[in-house]
Amino acid sequence: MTLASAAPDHATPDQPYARPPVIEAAIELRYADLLDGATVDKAVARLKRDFPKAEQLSSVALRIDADQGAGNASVRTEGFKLTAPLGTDILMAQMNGLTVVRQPPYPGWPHFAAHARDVWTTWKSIVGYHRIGRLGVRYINRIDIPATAAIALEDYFRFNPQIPDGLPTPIDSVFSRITADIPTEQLSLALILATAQPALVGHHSFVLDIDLGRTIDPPQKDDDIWAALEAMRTRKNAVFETTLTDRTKAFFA
Amino acid sequence: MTALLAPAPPARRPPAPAATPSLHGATPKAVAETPNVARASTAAATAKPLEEALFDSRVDLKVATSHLAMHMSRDWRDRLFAQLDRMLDPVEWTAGDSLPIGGSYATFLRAMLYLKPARRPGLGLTPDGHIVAAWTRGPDRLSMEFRPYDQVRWIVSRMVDGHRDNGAGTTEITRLPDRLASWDLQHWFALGDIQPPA
Repeated sequence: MTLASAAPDHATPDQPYARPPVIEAAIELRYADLLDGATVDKAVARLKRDFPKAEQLSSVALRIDADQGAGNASVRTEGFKLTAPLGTDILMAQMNGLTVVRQPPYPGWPHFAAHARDVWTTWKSIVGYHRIGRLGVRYINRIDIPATAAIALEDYFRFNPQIPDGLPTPIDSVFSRITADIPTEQLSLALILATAQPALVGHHSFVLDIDLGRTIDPPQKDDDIWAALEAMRTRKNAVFETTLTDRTKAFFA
Repeated sequence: MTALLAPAPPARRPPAPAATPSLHGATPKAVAETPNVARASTAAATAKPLEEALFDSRVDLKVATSHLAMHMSRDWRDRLFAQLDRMLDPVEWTAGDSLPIGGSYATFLRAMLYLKPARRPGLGLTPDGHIVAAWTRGPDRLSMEFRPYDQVRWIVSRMVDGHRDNGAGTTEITRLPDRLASWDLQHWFALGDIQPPA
């Protein structure tokens, strides 16, 4: 079986914007406990058929004994980043679970979610059932705004800092982050608005990063998992729509 | 007071120097967040067989292209991908040449989106890994070599009144239209036949 890509790579009726600003969409299925490396390697060997570019994901631990003046570093392999030939579909296959990522052009949720579920089914057929500890849906958007003159952030974003009198203005960059629990949906939200390296000449680029996670009583059965992810996506859309002004949405309508 | 953001800088600059150190360290890392690709820590690249290195380079450039896909037509993106496949074809590759430099390719994409040439250029690569775009119109030729941080070296050669005129220079993307004004950019960028200068 060949895993389907999240294609089509153009706007579809499933999503309202002709040129969605998503630069990274991710669905995460994280385990409560770590898998062993051999199991991950076996799953990666299968997934590499469709995602042939493989890079090791690793973390470095540095231990220093100040009294002895000695130290040592250890590198731990956590899994692999696997990229499909066109570069738009990516997996992070790790000991703590699977993350399915889509880079632009964003095809809309139905295609992306169906693709992610296919990959999950293949992954699970190899690693077997393990208890889910967290589900995540994260959308990183990059919003490019023409800016040959100073711009007022409130014209574009409903989530932006207020600058008290006495601080220099105009400002050069922004980084705002909030986190909140949504108890009725058992979700946690992390929302970031930040300036980024301008992607286009004569423009400002802003990153709007919406990360929803569920660690409280996450569902374990596949149908329940995908229903929960769908609900998280609905909440993500609501956050997106309420954070941006109509003027901003017009850039990608 | 609402936040006013200064006008966009004319060109990309290298990253600002690190902040003043603090005992409290940097911005606290989120405890539980969905991983993202850009921040994933991949192991240092080891020497790869040429074919694998070329494949990986093709994927890297396509990923960079995809980040601007919302500003590109699908036709253009498809054509660009085909050009990258040819440019980095193992059969055509010259041993010893450098793989494309990411910063050079970023400047190429930014320049194309800024200049918006209706005629797409041919693409090439210098031996040290810089992207080159070339337009030809009869005996006339314009080529641009893209450097990181929006720097562009250009070379132009054009027949005018039976004489060959040549020019060259280095500038930033935003200054290209001015610097090349006397060479008539549309001579290369416009679709269809162009009449010789009166």
